[in-house]
Amino acid sequence: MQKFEIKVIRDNRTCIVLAEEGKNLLEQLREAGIYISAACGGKGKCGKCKVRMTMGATEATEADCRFLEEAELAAGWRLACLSYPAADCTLEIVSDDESEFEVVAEHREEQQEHGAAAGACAIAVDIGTTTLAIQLVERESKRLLHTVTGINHQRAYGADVISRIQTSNDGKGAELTESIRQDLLRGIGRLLLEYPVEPEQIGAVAIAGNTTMGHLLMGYPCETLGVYPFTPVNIETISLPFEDLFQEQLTQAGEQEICRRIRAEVTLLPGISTYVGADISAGLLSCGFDRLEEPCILIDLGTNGEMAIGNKDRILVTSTAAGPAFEGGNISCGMGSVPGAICKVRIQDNGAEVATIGDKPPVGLCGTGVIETVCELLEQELIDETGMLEEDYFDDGYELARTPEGEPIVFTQKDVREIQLAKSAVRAGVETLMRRYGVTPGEVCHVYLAGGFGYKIDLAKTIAIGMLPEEFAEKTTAVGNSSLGGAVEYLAGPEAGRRLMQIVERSTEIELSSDKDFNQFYTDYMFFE
Amino acid sequence: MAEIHEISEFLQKGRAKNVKALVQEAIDEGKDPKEILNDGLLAGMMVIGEKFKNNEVFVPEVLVAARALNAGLAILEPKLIEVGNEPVGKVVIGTVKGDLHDIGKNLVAMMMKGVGFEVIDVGVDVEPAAFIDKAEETGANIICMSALLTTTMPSMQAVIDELSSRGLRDKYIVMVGGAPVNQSFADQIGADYYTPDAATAAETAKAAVTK
Repeated sequence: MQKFEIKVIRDNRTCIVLAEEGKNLLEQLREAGIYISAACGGKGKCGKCKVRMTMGATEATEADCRFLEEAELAAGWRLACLSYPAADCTLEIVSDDESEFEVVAEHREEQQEHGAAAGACAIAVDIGTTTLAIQLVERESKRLLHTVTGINHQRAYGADVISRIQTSNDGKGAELTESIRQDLLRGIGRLLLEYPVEPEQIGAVAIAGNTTMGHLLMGYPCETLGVYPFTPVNIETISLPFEDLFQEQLTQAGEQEICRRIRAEVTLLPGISTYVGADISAGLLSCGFDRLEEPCILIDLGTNGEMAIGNKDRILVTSTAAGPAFEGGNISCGMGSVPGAICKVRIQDNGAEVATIGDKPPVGLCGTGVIETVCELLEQELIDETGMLEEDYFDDGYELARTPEGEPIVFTQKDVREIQLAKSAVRAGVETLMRRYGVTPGEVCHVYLAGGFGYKIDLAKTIAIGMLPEEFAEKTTAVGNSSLGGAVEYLAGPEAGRRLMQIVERSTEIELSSDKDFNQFYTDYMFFE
Repeated sequence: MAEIHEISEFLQKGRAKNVKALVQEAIDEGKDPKEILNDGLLAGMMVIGEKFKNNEVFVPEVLVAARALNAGLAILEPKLIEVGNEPVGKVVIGTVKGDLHDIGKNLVAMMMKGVGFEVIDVGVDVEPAAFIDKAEETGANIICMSALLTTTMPSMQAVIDELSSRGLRDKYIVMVGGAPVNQSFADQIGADYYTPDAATAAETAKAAVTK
């Protein structure tokens, strides 16, 4: 195959990427470990991945003309996802502002942000597959001092954990490890620069995240994570000195330089299994499952809908492949929770009214917008109980709004099918857990919805589409980032560590994909009834 | 009197009891078992398959229709053997090693039955050798593999490699499918066919054995 060179200039640094014909710039850059944002996943829909080709610019596409001014086009600006260079070229990337991504860092701990640090401080970290949240807390009081959030730049290698595992298996594990360590150091550096605390005052760092994130941070091989029986390398509590974990990254210059003065122990919290990781055990700690008499449920609504049911004596956990639909993935006009994403929908006889994140002109639909749309379409009987769209909309979908360029934002029959699969996977998981635990929905004492999506979604709507049982309506609380909350809790003292160990030891995982009950529930709950 | 087209209609609605009763009635009336199969059961499944492909019906409708198909087949099969009706072909189907996903594979298996195949389902987490051993043992024409995880897709390659090393590659038609699989992956590992959905898989399989 024809090889050629792409010269990439970013922040006054230059590197050469050896490229192959037939791949777009976004793919070429990703493969070379160069991050650029692509909210829509490289479909030419969001205009986020623009780069300036100063030499050897490819021909402008229709989408380029839509997102870019004439002067920009003339200066060589192109969307990386639609540019297929075939010969040597040079491009400049302007570091973009990732702060636009909505990251939920709120959790159940007391959060008063005032006054300077009096006692010893510590740092709690949640490594999400998409985003990172880092908090500075006063240790014993758990008082929150400062929070920074950011994006997990491993996103450039794929959106979900399976694609990260695959990337690691393809020999790029070290790149992923470097990426997350850099992200963490930069985040911690920013935290220390933004809040008046001396690095020497940091007594401990606690990190929670799913098992794959933990493995990639530690640099473990991921081969066994992606195939049955899904054996992790190490999901026990891991402690090591800060300067050891970040040894290589600490020598580099940048906002992380201040981190060289940190002399703290880093602890990775323990997980339960490969698909129910430390983010969930931390969530269970945060919700106090070790002290419960009556059974409660914790559900993390994401791509791998992890869930748990139990009390202080016995906990059952599982994960269910809900897929990326709740994050706007696999939806024809879907996108992440970024400005311009439709997040509220109201449908009446004369059409749809929508609201977007940041009140920006609509460009697509985020996860909450997707659920709202389905709910409204059901309400208006434009979708029947089998999930079939009204005849008038069957072919082209239901139009919700138009982009500033006049492109219709539609919800199609296929999108309805994606949601049927996703909501049914969650419901079937919950029903299977309750059956195995031997309780009815009425006997569940309380339900905690974790994660960014669970924080933003209207609970009544999740029930209206049948994702959760009706009985949960009066007893469900959105707990936000309970993984981060658990890490904060862990830092409070050795007692919290013992409580976490108890949770992990009393948890048993059940595997759903070959479970007969699960498969039956999965089919039963696919309809809207 | 049992009307054959009614069998098809009840099957499309997933009414297993009615299908069973009508098939029995048709047999008792001395109707040709092949006609009951082709114009009744399989005709109904074909309509469901087409609608599924067009997103007009979804997984639950297909599963209930398949349940009705199985109910009808259970009483019709002995008669079909008596009159010497041959299936259009035999398919060994399973989900590859390291992968436990069942539902997509089951849908394909039902659609294959629906176009007249004898289907041998070897289950999930299937060793490469087990696919081939079963195909050899049953005299199958097609090996059909499913994978739902990017990380288990390489096991499809392993089956094809093993077929080649046993000198059996040309003896079988190899079909692959599942969410992360696509045509370029199928080409890369040297599979004969990739299909994006269960209904197309069945049509493709039938076309492949009858050409």
